[in-house]
Formats: sequence, C-alpha cells, structure tokens
Amino acid sequence: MASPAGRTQTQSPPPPPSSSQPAARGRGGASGRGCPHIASKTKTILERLKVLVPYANVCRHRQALLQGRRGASGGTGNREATPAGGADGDRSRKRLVEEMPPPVCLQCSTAGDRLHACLGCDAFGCWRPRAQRHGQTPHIIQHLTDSGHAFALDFVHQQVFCSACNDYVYDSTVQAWLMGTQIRWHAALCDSAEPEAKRPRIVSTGADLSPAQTKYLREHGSIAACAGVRGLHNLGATCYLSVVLQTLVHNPLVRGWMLSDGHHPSRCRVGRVLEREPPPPPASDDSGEEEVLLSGGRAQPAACMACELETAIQAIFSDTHTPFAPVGLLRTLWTLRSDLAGYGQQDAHECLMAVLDTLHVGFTENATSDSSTRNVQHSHMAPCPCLVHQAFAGVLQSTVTCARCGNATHSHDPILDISLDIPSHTRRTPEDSALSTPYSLGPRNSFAARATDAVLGDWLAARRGTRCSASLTQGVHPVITLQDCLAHYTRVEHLPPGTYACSRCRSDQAATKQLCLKELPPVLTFQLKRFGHAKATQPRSKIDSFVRLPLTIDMTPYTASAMAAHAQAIGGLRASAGAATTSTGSALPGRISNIPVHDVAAGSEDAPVKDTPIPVLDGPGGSTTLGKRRTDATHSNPACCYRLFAVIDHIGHLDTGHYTAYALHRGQWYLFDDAHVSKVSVRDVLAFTEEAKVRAGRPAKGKAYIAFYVKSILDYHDMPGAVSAGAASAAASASPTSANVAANVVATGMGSSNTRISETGEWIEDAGIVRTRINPNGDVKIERRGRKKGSTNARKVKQEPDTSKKPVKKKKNSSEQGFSTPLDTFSSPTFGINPLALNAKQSDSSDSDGEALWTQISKEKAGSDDLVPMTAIQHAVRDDRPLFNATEAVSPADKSGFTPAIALDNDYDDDDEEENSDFGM
Amino acid sequence: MDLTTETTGVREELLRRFKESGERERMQDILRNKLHASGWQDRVKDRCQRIINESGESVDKLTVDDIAEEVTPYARSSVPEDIKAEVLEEIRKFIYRSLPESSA
Repeated sequence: MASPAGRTQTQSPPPPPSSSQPAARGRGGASGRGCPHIASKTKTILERLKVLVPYANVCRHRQALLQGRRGASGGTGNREATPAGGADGDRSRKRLVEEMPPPVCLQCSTAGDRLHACLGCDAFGCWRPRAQRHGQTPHIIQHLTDSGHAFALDFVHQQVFCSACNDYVYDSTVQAWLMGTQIRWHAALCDSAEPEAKRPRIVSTGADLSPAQTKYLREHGSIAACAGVRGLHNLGATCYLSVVLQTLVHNPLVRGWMLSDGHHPSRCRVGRVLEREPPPPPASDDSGEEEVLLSGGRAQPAACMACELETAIQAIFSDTHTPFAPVGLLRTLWTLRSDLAGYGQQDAHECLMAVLDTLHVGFTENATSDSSTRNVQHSHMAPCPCLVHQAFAGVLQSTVTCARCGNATHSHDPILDISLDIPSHTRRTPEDSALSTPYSLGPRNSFAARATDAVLGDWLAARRGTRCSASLTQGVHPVITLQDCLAHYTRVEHLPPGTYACSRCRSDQAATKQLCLKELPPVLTFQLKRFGHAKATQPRSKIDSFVRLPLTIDMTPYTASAMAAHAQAIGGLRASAGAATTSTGSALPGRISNIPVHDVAAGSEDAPVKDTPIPVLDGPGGSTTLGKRRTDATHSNPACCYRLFAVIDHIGHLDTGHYTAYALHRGQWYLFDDAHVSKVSVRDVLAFTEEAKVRAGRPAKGKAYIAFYVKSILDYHDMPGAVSAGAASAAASASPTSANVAANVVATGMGSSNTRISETGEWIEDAGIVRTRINPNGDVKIERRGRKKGSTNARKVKQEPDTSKKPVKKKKNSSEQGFSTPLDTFSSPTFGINPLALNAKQSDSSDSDGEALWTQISKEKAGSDDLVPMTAIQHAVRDDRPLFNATEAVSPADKSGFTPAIALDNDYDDDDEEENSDFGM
Repeated sequence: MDLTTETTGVREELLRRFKESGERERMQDILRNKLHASGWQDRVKDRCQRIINESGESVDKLTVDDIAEEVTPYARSSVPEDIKAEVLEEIRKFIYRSLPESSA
C-alpha cells in the first residue's frame, strides 16, 4: 500500500468508504476479528502516531522525566538548578518537557476525562463517562463524525479508536509500532528514573535460528491447544515437587530457555552422555549412569536436573493431555539431594531451592566448555551465567549505620529469593492515621483556610451522599499486603549496644541496620514465612494470616538507590531545618505566601504567576510525603515493575498439608492441583473472598506461600554478548560517550547479531539487514545492508534479528514460546535502535551534530546503492526530536509539517514494509 | 465585596495553577500508586474481566465504553475511604500553599 495518497494526505485523509460503515456496525462473530477499516490506513496512522505518541509520553511521564533531570542534580531543593555536569541537551530537554503543555479538549477545555487525539487532524476531544455527559456524544466522537475522520488515539492509554467500528481496534502493524515505541520509552524512563544505573541484562539462549528456519517454524509449527497445561501425578506426597515444577514450567525465562534449546540432553555431559532417546524411560537411566561412570570416571551419580527439567517441559508442552509423571525428575532430585529423598512431606521452598541448586550444577557443568558464556560480563555479584542465576539471582544490601558517627557500612549478599516475615499488624503508624483524618489539620485561623475547609467539607458531604456501598471495601480492618511485608523486611532495625563495633569511631554503641535490594533479579521469588514462631514464646506453628498479593508490584521503594534518595531527602530536610515545609501545611514558606491570588482573580493579567511557580517539592514523591508510607512516592523506575505469574499455596498445618499452584499461562490463570488442572480467575488467585473476610474482621486464612513475580519488561543480552561486551568495554576506554552508546545498542540491539571489532577499532554489529557501526569516537552509523549479489557487504545474514536480544515485552504469550512473532520482527529491525544511543549523542553535543548525522545519512542515501542508510534511523532521530528540540526539528526534506508545534518527517519509507514482508509480516 | 464572584475567581485561578504547576499530575500519580497498593486496581480489573466473560454471545458488540459504564459505579464505590481522605488532604495542602496566609 505504497500509495502516494498516503504520503500527501496527512492533512485531510479521505473519509472512510461509506460502504464499510454498515458492515462494521453489524460485524458479527466469524468476520468480527479485527477492524476492516484500519488495514489500508496504517501508513497514515503511523505517521500521525509518530507525532502524537512522543507527545503523549511526555505528558504522561512528565513528572518522571523532570524528576530524572532533578535526580541527576542530587535532589537538591532548587528546581532551577542544573546538574554541574549537565549538558545543554539536558537543559533543553528539561525545558521542553516542562513547556510542552498538556492538551485540552477543544470543546470543553478540560484536560482530563479520557482525552483522545484525532488521527486525521490536530483536534483533541474528551470522552466523559456517560453519567457526566448527559446523553451527549463524547466530544471526540462528535468531532470524528463532523469531520469525517475515522480514527482517534486515546491519549493516555495509546489505543486506536475506530469510529466505524465504534470501538478500539488492534491492528498488528500499529500495535507493533506502539510496542516498539513503548520499549524505547521504557529505556528512556528507566534512565531518567535512575540516571547512572546500569540495568542488569539477561543472557538469553544462543538459539541460532536462521530467518528461513524461523519462517518455517512460524508457518508450519502449531501450538497444541493444551500445550503447557498438564497435570502432574502425585508420586506419593510429592505435591511439593509438582508445584515447584509447575512454577518453573510457567516461569517465562525458564520456559523460554528450555523451549529454545537452552539445554541439550543429547549434548549434556553431566547426565546420560550418548544414547538418550527423546522420551526418557526412567528404566534406562542405569545404563547411562554406568556409561558415565566408565567414560568420565565421575564419582557422583550421573543425574542432571537440567536434563530432567528439559524432559518434563517437553512432555508438558506436547500434545498429550493426560497427567504426566515426573519420575525422572523425582529420581534425580532424590539422587542429588538425599535429604529430600523418601516419601515424606517436604517443604516446597526447600524443594525449590534444591531444584534451583541442582539445575545450576546441570547448567554450569555444560557451560564450562562453551566459550561463549565464559567471557560475558556480569554484574559484580552475580558472576554465574547459568539460567538459574540469570533469572533468580539478585543482590541484597545490608547497611549498618553507626548511631554515633553516622558511618554506614554496606555489605552485599547474593540471593535467590526473598523470605519475608509476615508482620502481625500493618504498619499504620499513629502519624499516618492522624494524616488520614480529614479534619485534623493544624490551626485554622485564617479566613482562607476556613473557607477552604468549608468548601471541601461541603464537597465531601455531597460525594458521600451519592456513594453506594461496596461490601468488599467496607470494614476498617487493615489487610496485610505484600508491600507491608516488604516494608517490614526493609525496615530500620535497631541493633542493641554491644552487637556492632563501628570501624570509624570504635564505638560499640547503638547502631541501625537496614536491608534493601541492590540488584533486582528478573524473577523475584517471595517466600512468606508461614512456618515459624508467631511469637517468640509460642511453639512453632503455621501463621495463617492473609497476605494480599498484588498483580503487579513496583519494587522501586525497596531498592538501594531509592533508600539512598530517601535518606538524602530526609537528611536535606533536617539540615535545612525545613520545619516550614513539614507536612501539616499550616506554616507556609514565605515565598509562596506573597503570590497575590486575589489580584489575579480580579482580572489583572500581569500578575507574575508564571515567574513564581509554586514549588513542587523535591525528592521522591515530594518531601511532603516523606513522613508517610512509601507508596506515596511518585518516583518509580519502570525497570523495577514486576507482575505476578505464579503462586504456590499451602493448605493444612505445619506438619501435614497439601500444596497447590496457580500459574498464568497465555493470559489465563490455572490452578494446578497435582493431576487436576482447572481454569480460575484472578479473584481466586488473589483470594478476594478471604480479603473481604479480613476487612470485615472475620477470621480468614491466607494460603499463599510462595509468590513469583517477573519483570514486566526484560532486558536481554545476547549470548554472543561476549564479543559485544568486550566491544563495549573497549569503547569505554576510548570515551565515556561511546560506552553509553555501545551499551545501549547492546541493550536494545537486534537479536543474535554478528558483532565484531574492525581493524580500525570500529564496533560493527550486523543484525539482519542492519549494520551498526560505532567508531571509537562514539559516532553511531546505521546502514542498511544491500541485497545485491556480489557486493562485498551483501553477505548472507545467518541469524534471525530478533530471537533473543532485544527487550521482550512479556505480554505477548506467543513470543514466549521460543520463536519470534511477527510483532517482534517488526519492532526489531526498524525500531530496535535505542533512542538513547542517539540522544546520548545529541545531548552531550550541540544540536548541529544531529544535523551532521542527518546530512551524513542523506548523503549516503543519495550516494550508494548497496549501502543504503536505513530509513528507520531517520525516524528514530525524528521521533525523539520533539522532546529535545521541537522547534528546530524541521528537516530539509520535510514534506508536510502538518503539526505546528512538532514538526516531524513523515517519510514512512516503503522499504520498511518490504523488509517486513520479508519477515513474514 | 461580592463573595460569589470572588470565590469563582479564586476557584478558577486555583484550578489553573493546580494544572500548571504539575500538581495535578503529581496527585494523579500518588492516587494511582495508592489505589494500586490497596488492591483496587486488581479488583476493578477482575470485575472488568467478569463483565466481559458474562457478556457471552454479545462479546463482539461490547465496547470499551460499555465496560467503563458498567464498571464505574463499582470502581467508584470501592475506593477505600482512607485513600479518599488522604487525597483530599493533599488537595487541601495544595490550596493552603497557594492561598495567601492572612487574608482574614
């Protein structure tokens, strides 16, 4: 659909064919999948989205972006302070972020209420709930009908609305583009949340699939309807093993690794060596064992947990529906861990740790010969490249602060899981409850304060009148949440005198100790310590308290950096004797008080409100919230967001009981109870009924024992990363800039790529049709490799560009199956270029460098045939430009600057589409 | 002194400043975090899923607007009281900050 119309008609796209409207209204079951109108318009829509989505992201994440800039300055009080090392790019970026006004509805001038942007023109319209719009059509619908434009974008949720379908539509091309943008923005937001942080990345499998193979798999492979959901026979009180196995199978990282050939039983040197039939009869184990003993001369029995897990996953993902008996796995576990052997009941957590431990052995024994995994650079505390440590290992930081001299000592410990005590009560401190009562505010002596209270009181009363009751939230009894447990875990503990000797002041006086997470693993495992002493005096028993698990959790408040920022903010507040800004609000800083509100209200236009903005207090969430619970913080690092994927429940008592597991599989929750598997909904997993009981003050039983969370967005590192990382460090020695650039490209680069360093010191990465060259000065050049035969550069690319390395959004279930999806393919070669790579380039030099890159690209485009610069890079540059220099971003080749504020090149190249069709789009 | 016009003027000015200072966005973030921590989001999500499941045959005709319409009363009423109070408190603080101290 490379029609010229799509290119020039951005101002007023042709109205949708009238014939399509009735068809859409009456879309029924069979043909109702997908919007019939959007397919021909994707190009126009994408052009429009390239303007709107960055704008929407700025508006949505404005605080985070600003916070990031301020965070770089150390969170000091002055809002205007630019970091000492801050570059011009930062300042202009900050200014633009600040000055880009949030859009308002053109008809009612409100900013909220589901604002939509028309994808045909520059109009914005709101979409109020039916109750509030009094029978009128929403303003955006009104606009679409009046103007004949077909599509609108939900400005907050970034979904495309089709007026003909009268609903939101999901076109694969548009969704892929949106996802690609989201991934790039994810990187940007992570960096602004924590400017100097290195995001740990996961080494993915080195599954080498050629594009042809991938294509073949995609066309010929099918996913069995029930693949992945299979009950496990109880082999005699082995429910502890069943639940652990189920959670491992549904762990996206373990599953992805195993299904993409991460561990080869045929090549395994730990387990059976040579003849190992695909379906492993457990009886044949003995012969294999003998063989290993004969050939390798190993003393320990030949049992490999990784092989057994591989077998089990293969069996679970096969077509068979009948329950599977993990005999081999059990045998291996018993062989390797004699303490777990026997038909007794075991602790699931202990079993999980044992399985992970033995898996680690199984993986590393094989990896030693594999040179590709040896040189990969790792974070300092997680040196193991095996899957277990890649997925589960984090670093715990324990800080002991001397109460006398304030000297803080940090110690770091690797962890595979977090064992949380269940606090007997939630942490509602008295000051919290005081703050939550509406009328406890300080002295109300001024007229303004009294008037405010009166108005707010009236408003509140009015709202209360219309409020209907809900049983779920009624009741004042607090519910213990996982966040409470985490807060308890990371609380400041007072060490009694004599237990700690300060290394600086030699005092053994009181000290405080605090735990926090230095590095978050991709998979977070929380064990709730249900088996123990409820109180020190009581005998060992099971703690039955209900603990609410959230579907998603933001771990930012429990990370080391957040703790540091928190401490710094508190320290700064104390140091500045900032009693004026404490949370009562009754004592106001003098500089705010002099803003003459009444003058402005009386109509004087020259009131200097613009020049004296109301100070937004700094620090995470603003210092007004410092005294309160940490959930108040607005500061959130998207790299610390996790979502729940599995829960292990324990039913019964301390010594006897039963384990069941809930796991999320392709967007659906399942309950695995040994051989029985049933579909369940979220409210079963999170036990809403129990929660309601707790709220009502009735006795309730919490069953959740282990909860597994996975990062919402993962950063992948490729297996050939040995070379990449080496290149990155080589570049690092050249200049800090290039280190950033290289690291970022590694982060979001394109799949299993060929990376090498040329003789001139250039770092060259070949990924699919894209070749990235980074010279030692940090200049990034991205070329599209020609397909002409005989050209020196037209070497056939062997690897699929996207199987592993780029960040994978875990929402797509199909992408977890080990082969890439069309969506991934789309987002990778075209949009895998990290904006930061370019931004880093832009921000620490003047804007003219961007222009230089530009002209370079343009020149090359005109110049050569077989090395065409990839047009996507232009988009990457262009897309992000509004952030930093919206007004200057008018390119020489700009054909249609249809948006006054944000000028973008809308040159959506046809070649992109060609390439996508190559990948089976 | 005309109290009503005065009040309306102040109100508009406050609203404007509420938006322009970024306080509105900050408040939205705080509210979002609080609601999430209280489990509200999970409950509303579950309710939405139930609405979709219960729609059965007519699921193709179900629009986002319909779901929003159906879930809104529940969502509104299930916001915990303490969160309402806390947000109100934040708003009150903002107003106190913005108003001149002694205008009595």
